[in-house]
Amino acid sequence: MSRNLSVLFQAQSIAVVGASGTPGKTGYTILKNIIDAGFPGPVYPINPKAGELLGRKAYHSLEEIGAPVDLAIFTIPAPALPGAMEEAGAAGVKGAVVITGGLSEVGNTELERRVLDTAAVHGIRVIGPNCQGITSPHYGICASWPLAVGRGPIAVISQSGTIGAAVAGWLIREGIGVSATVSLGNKSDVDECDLLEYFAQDAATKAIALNIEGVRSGQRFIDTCRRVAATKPIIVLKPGRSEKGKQAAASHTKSVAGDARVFSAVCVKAGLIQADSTEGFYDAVKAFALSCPIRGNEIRMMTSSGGSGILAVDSAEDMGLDVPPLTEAEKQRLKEALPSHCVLRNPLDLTGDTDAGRYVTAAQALDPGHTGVLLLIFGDPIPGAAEAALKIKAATGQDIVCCYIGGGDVEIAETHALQRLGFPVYPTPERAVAAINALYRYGRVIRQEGTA
Amino acid sequence: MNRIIQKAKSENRSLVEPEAWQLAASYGLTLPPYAFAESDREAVKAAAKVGYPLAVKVVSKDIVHKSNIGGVRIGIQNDAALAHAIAEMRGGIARLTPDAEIAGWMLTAMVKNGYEFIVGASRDQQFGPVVVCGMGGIFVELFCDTVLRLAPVETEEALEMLAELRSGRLLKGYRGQAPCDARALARSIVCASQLIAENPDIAELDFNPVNVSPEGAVVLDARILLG
Repeated sequence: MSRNLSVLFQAQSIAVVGASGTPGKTGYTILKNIIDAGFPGPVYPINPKAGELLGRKAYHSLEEIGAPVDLAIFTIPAPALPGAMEEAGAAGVKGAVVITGGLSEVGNTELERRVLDTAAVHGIRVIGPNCQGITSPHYGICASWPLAVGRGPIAVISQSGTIGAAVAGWLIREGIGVSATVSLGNKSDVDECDLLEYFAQDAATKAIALNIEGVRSGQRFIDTCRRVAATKPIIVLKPGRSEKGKQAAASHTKSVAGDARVFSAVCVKAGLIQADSTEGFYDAVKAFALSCPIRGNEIRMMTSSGGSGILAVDSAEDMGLDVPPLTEAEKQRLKEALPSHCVLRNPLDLTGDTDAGRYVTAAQALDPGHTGVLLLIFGDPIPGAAEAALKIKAATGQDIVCCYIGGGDVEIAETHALQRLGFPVYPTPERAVAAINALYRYGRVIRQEGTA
Repeated sequence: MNRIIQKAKSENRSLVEPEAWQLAASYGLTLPPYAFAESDREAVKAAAKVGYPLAVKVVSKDIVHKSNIGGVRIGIQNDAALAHAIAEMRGGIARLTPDAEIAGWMLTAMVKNGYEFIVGASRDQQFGPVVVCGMGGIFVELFCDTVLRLAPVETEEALEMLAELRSGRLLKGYRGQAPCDARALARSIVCASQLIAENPDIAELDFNPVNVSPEGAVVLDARILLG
């Protein structure tokens, strides 16, 4: 199963089988997004009427193109798939993404098997069927919807096309971007394990976001994840925790959701970072996009907002993270460096009149060499937060995670600037601490792997 | 295949209690002094080996839930009380489940003090054997305080499981009590996890309760189901 999937994600020519000139049709959207994403290679619309579609010469068939086609996207009706796949094989297509639904997910297993068998005979790897396509921004590929082009370090593998598109969309909106998105669909050929293996060796991918409703083979999943998680973090969101959620998963994608507690045990065994909500999933993914796994479970906090600091402490306590007291030497140095109304403890409350400079002054008074993380909470508008974080990083050498809250327009600009510098920023203290917890958990995974 | 499991399988039944105990002991689980007596008269003789006070339980492949039909007596102090208890249980069982075939009686030494935990294991369709540990006794379902891992686990992982339990705090010496032997409980988890991982014929096993005290972790009841 290790045949290389690079033919899909690094394709140099793409055909859209079922391309359409009618806005609203899937064959139109896919063709348009491939073109609008700026795909640098040739794009071939395939349509029985041929002519021209969206300014590109269209062809009656794949064979008519007369040039190599790496990747074919299928949006034609299900009954036409076996013939079209046979044609793709004859034309030398290497990879296929089958958007078309109406196959095994509605009981048409025989039809689906014919499509897959045909592809296998010709050595064509298939994503889907019944999926929302793939994107690969580093190669200018957006064979999916919505249009998404921001390049970055996260591979998003998703059972749900929508959840995948949402996570990718947020990453792009925050200026972080993705290395790829894949909608699994019925995953009748390429499954989560194939993709994990591929992204493990993909240089553009730093971390993998995985949304699944079930797995095909339990043992293979565990083995693959263990291997991959030793080098790259895998963050997983698996719905179907409740009894009714399990039933919904079964009818959605025919997945065997299984016992949620067993899956959590699988995550522990395989070194997966499990999220329990879409929000937590995204927040952890973002943390890994920008930060490194952290070594210690200690959080030191600096805040301009006492209230936010308490919320952060509560979350840390809930998650078993330590908020250690300041040392006497630190207190002494801070006392000399800060105004007398600052509260000298952890969280270090710089109070509401603080500016960015006071954060730097305070950080310089802390003992260096801490293995945990420094949480900077910027409450209210504090201009220059990004610049300050950079100086604090230099002074302490610590990993930094930020919360920016209640800062109006300054918050928007500074959040962007902080994240461009590689400091993840969250809009609430709880979310920032949960992200720190994810970084810490993965730090433990790789340490255990290292000592095993 | 394990000899005990093989025998039960060939007779198309799950393990009876003395077999489950023997198998558990062979995997390193700690059990209190116990004896299996095939007849009422032998029971009194065996009691001398186990020592009073003791608990006596009916052994029958036809009876799964012993206490529901009055098949368990605890706190037996002497020979006369033992003979009386057995006679009474026989009568009760004959009335309630006349077809049940009584193979004999399990005598087990009473273990005092300590907290009750549960150590169990089962098999997931997709991911294979799993091991569970949690607070035992009568409040199991009320507090739902259990933690689950894929089997087998090693001691470090078993200790992590205990650290995740809310009731794990009891082991550290709650409210002035002496700390319990958490490592012994962790070893029970390890043994149970190996038992299910190494024997594919076991569908489910239950050590409930496991009595945990400063002196160790002792399995007081063992149920092993074949699948």
